[in-house]
Amino acid sequence: MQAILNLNRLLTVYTDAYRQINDDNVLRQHPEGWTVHNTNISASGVALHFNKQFKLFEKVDVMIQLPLNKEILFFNGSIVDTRKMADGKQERVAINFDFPDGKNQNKLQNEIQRFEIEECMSIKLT
Amino acid sequence: MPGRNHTIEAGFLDELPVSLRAPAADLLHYYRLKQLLEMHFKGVDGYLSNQFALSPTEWQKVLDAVILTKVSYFEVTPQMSPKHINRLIEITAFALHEPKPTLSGLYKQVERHYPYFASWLKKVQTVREEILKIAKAKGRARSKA
Repeated sequence: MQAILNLNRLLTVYTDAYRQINDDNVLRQHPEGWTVHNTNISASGVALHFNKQFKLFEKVDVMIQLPLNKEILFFNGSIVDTRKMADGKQERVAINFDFPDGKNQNKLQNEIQRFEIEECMSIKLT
Repeated sequence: MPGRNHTIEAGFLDELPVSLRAPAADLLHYYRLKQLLEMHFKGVDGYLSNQFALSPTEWQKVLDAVILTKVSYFEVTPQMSPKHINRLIEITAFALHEPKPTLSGLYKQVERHYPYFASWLKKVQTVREEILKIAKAKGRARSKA
């Protein structure tokens, strides 16, 4: 019985890893399946929490969808910092955008601005 | 944190005495506009009050200056919703202690000492006109159809 249970766990770990690789490739074309992250973002980089590990200075593609017009922004990024989270399962991965396209950067910047002002709409100024 | 490639009105921070500069820098770097406004009403959070021993009036002074600096970093474009633009103006009026959030009134207050902020307000004015123009053009197109 124990052996079957452990085999099951092992297989889940393996398939999960493959599923993530598969997602990374397939979901590029399907923004509707993308996960929403609560992140610390700026026009020049983003910090994300992942349960997979990245090497320092690894090159990554960052794709971000804007909520209003569903436009997708593409950035070439590189990992500049990884830090273990307190729970030990996740890592905080800081990604820097390499030579970002000015247009995309402006769009992202405007979106950040919009978010910041939107947040302030509910505050009463008296 | 505002990016370093933005032009901001530095005049408000320059006026602060040296002892208030470090807290001002912290506020500007690590807090969002909403948090700054909230702290204006409810007082600063535990981290800041531990780090810097300032009186409530000093905090108010710092927050006003930081809010204005932060506002000046926003880039107003015709793509923004007019509601959001109005909100920015209201926030500016609040931080300048100007009772009425009108562009002309605010402009008069800042034009002598804060040239960048004055030009920022001018930009807001032109953007507002552009939005009106676009809206009118749309209205005309609709009435023709």
